Amino acid sequence: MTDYHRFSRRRFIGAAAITGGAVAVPLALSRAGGSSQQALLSADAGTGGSTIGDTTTSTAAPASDVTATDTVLVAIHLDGGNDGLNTIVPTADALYRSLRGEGVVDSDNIEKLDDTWGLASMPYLASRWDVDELAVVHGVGIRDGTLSHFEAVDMWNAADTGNTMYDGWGGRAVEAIAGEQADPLTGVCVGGFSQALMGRSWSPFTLPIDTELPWTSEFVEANPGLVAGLQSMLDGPYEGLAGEVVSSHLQLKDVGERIDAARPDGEGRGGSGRANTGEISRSLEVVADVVNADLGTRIFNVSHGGFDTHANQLASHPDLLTLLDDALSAFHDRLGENREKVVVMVWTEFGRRVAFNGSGTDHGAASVGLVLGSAVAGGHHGEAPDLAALDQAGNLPVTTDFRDYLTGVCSSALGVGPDVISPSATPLEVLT
Amino acid sequence: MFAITVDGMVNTNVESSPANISHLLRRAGWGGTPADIERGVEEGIEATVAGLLDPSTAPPAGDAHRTDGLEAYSRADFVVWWYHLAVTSPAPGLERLAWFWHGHFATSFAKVRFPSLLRNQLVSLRRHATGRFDDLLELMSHDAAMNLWLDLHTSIVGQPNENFARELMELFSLGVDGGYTQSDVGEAGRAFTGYGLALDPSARFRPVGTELRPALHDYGTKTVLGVTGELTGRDVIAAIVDRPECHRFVARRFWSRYAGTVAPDTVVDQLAASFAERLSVADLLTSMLSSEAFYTSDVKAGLVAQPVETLVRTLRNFELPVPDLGDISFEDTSGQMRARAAGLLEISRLLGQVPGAPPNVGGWPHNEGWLATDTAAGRLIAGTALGAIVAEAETDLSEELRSLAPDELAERMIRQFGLVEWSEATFKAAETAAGSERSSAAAVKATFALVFTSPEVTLS
Repeated sequence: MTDYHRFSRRRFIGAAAITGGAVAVPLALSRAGGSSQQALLSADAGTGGSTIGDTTTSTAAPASDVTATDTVLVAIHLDGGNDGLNTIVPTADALYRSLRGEGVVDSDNIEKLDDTWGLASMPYLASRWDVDELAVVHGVGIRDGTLSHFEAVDMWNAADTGNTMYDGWGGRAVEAIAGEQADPLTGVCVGGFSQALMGRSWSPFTLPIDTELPWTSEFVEANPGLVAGLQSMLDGPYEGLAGEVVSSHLQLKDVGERIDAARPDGEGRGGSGRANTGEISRSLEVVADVVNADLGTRIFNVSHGGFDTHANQLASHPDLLTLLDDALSAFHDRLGENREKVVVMVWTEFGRRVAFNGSGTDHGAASVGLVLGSAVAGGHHGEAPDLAALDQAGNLPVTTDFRDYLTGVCSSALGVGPDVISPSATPLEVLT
Repeated sequence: MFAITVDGMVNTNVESSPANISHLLRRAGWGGTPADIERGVEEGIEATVAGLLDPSTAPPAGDAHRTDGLEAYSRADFVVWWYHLAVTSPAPGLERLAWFWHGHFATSFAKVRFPSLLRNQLVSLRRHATGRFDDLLELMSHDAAMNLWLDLHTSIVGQPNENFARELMELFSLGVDGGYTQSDVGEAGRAFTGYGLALDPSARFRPVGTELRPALHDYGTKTVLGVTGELTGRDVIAAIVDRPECHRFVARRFWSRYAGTVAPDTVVDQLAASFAERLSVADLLTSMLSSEAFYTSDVKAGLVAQPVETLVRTLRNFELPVPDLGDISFEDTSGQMRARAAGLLEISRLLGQVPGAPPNVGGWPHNEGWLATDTAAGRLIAGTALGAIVAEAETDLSEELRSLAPDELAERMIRQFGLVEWSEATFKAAETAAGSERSSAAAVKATFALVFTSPEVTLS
């Protein structure tokens, strides 16, 4: 059974060896310098977590390893399998109309990119194309995949077709940048945990979209008994899964206090002006606020759902793309000058069947990748799949292996070696 | 180990200790109160398992095919109806099992915009919860909410839609490694053509059930899982449940949701064998819940409770009122019921899990998937909100809690959650919480919230 939100078992084997508060990722410790950190961790194996628990109650924000000029990568998953053909439309190819039939994009909704390609329903992204800040990557997908959402997502998260049980590309990148004791805010999942950001032993912070974090000064003041009890609980000792429960409380406390300290007086985490729009807009607002707060985050993972358009595609798919386009436009506005350091990578687990099923399209193979940002080499990348040479199931053949796409974007944006993302990839050069 | 006799009774070697009974009631029910655990110890494991799976103890939950009076049925109506049934039912084992099936056939009102159809689906799952697995699959293929969820109604001869056929095999019955191919999916898609929706003739588009449309069915020859013929959906299901991969998949699924750990192959073999004979869910569960393997320390420490399960257990054990909205939408002149219903919905949302709203067809996160920091945040906030209600309630229980000294309050609170064993660290933390507030009500609130967020209650 493949679980969408599966956590790594290996993570817990590592964590279980340590008792008490030290099970947590000790934020304050992670900056304490190599030798003292080592000493505390090894001492802890015999003494329980009280020392470490006490240390981590410090509210001082650690000095950041990450400099302000480092690129921030925002990965957006178009969840369900995006129809690449109806996103980057081969307007000059007669086969598109003959094979797709009634399921083609309304030409009124297409922004012309050049003589052969058009962009559906996304005028803001078209404006970025015009200034060479949008890369279109053709034919991206998993070769010989099973067309299962869950298996494909696991492979993308792992950047691997075989071993998908444990860590993800983003988690490995964080560990390469800042070590296994990296600050949990180095990689942040917004709106739901993703295995893509799971490290070998480091784990990301998952930030809710619509709930303020506890551990504000108001929360602490209003709940003296609970706070005293939790402080005691964080000292442990606990083992195994129980240790993991306490670990997440400790992460939450440290990050909650730091985010509370970073917010402008009298405002919630998101500051003012949080628009009440679609989930992808709200997710990207949270991302922009965390980037603007300069908390050292290098990778964000967000999801935009609804792309499994087996039915009713002609009504729903353009709306999904418009929501994305509006969200990205508002995201750039909210970032202000910080947009210069942000690269957005859009990915999806697979494309869709070329033939229309009368109402929508079934699972396919190749789709398209989109990369947005001032560091991007704007234009076409990869070879467009040939509509005259579909595979046995009637799908667009994959011309850009998903690992080549992921590795090309992520290793350049994050400044880590390609092997960290995928040793078997031939990285596609998408960034300048 | 154990053996099933001809009349379905089980001989088990598992000791009927308070710790084992508490574990059984938490995993296969909503968790017992101290009194439930005492009764279980007296009656023994065998009788307790049999009682948990006895359909005759469940109250009726309404007509599965009800269509009148549900036009205005809202998501909140559905969610509160569900919680009311789960919390007040005298058959927690059956309600817990129906909840398992809801996660298995995960259908969401994010796409099924008729919450009344979700209600009908849950009534069906509940009614057939312990029965034959092939009947359940057949039932789901004719369920209106499922039909809308996986687009069956759009699948017609010449233009089959693969959505239901694929998830039937991948998620519901065989697993992604279950030995089927893309060709099996495509051919099964053809077999499931002509499965239409029955519509309310007085509305523009309001499904009230399903109906077969012979003219839209593909009568051609198909081959699915090696079976060739003019197959219908029913034939596809028969071919699926014949496969050993199906028996092992269902066994693994139950083990992962009830036990949590990775099932040893010998256990999977045993459970699959007990299931294969009659495809009986009750047989499988009886085997599992009576096996020594289910009561090892690894299993006992190996599962994070789903937030909804923790909430139902809390509402039951602390006698918190769940609004009874009746079976259909009703006029609430004072607005009190609505306010309480909205509060319950908000707590469920904060905890990260709302019945009727799984994130996708794969269902909710599982086990460690509930340990991310966003869930921890919601649990802490929800714990303080529920704690405030417990602290202020005018019940005998709350009155007693308010009268206790910190050390007594800590132990009493932990026991009220149905625990018979706990760590020194959690006891100390609860005692600290109880002793760090000025008023007795504030101490109850703090201690409740602390225990609610503790590892002992977060794990199942």
